[in-house]
Amino acid sequence: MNAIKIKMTVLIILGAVISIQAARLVVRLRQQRIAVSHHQAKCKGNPRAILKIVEYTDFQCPACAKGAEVLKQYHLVYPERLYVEYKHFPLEMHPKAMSIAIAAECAAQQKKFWPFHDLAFERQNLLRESVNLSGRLKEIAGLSGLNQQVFLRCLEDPKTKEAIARDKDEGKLLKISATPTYFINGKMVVGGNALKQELEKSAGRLP
Amino acid sequence: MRKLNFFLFLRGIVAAIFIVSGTEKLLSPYENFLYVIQNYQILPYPWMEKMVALGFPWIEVTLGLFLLLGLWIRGTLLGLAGATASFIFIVSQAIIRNLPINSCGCFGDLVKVPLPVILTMDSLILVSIFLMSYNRTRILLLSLDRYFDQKS
Repeated sequence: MNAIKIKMTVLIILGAVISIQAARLVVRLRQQRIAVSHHQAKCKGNPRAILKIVEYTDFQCPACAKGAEVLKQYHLVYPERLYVEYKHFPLEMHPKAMSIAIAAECAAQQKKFWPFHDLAFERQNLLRESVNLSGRLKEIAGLSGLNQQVFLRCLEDPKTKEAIARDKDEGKLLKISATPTYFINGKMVVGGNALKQELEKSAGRLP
Repeated sequence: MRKLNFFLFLRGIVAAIFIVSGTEKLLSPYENFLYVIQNYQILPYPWMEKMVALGFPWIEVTLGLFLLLGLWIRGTLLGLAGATASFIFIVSQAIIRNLPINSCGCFGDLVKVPLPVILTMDSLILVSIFLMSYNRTRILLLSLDRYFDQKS
């Protein structure tokens, strides 16, 4: 009877493994069918680079700020090896993330996304502690060279928020749950440290 | 009869928690759970973190399934107690060290649970496991262990 019990145990484990693997296959097939959108203004680098990176980040996330710094350094040292595309993934636990994302999206519409992005991450602590967020964002817009009137109109436009929601929905379909999440040539990498390790392996170490 | 039903209910709930928790992690990219483990800063080597990220959800599902079916109950309860005690230790050290973790990551993407809440939940689960351990005859009702014991 013990032998039968052991056989039944093995069958139950096999059954569980097969069921879960089948479910994972279905999930992966669904993910492959996801149509990923591209916004040229939020891309930078060499389109023929060996490393194509899609990042899903949140402007209020400290780990994302570190990741942004790593990517900036790599762009400076290895400009030909990287092509980076930014996607919004503001987390609900960060109350100011959506507002900053909207402002950054408006900067993208004026083709000034990356200067705005860099300043927003550099001033992340300031933005988090600020009681006048819109004032701070207008300041960053000014420093990034944006037309303020166009910027302010864009902030109120519901299509701007929709663009961010599209990025986030795409991220959720790709099973992103934390920021920063990067896809380096399709390989998922979560966290700034993991990004640095992956870049060191693929592009080389920073001097 | 009411006491018997209570222990069966407890067995079902604890089993479901582990099955759902493990399955959710297995249906998400393992990189998400790997990131959760890295945030707790408990394992000394990256290969250990990767091993836990890949292997632990399978252990959760297996133990949960065995508890649900009432199979190898003694060993299963021991395994579940060990797993739950480990969670309690890991979460406690994260709270004490004030690590910047907003959500425990225990249920993958399904539910975001703050650390103090998960500590309470894990403690209740551990108490439930001890209750079941001390009332094993009662939880053996509708179990494969009893079926095989009766047949032999």
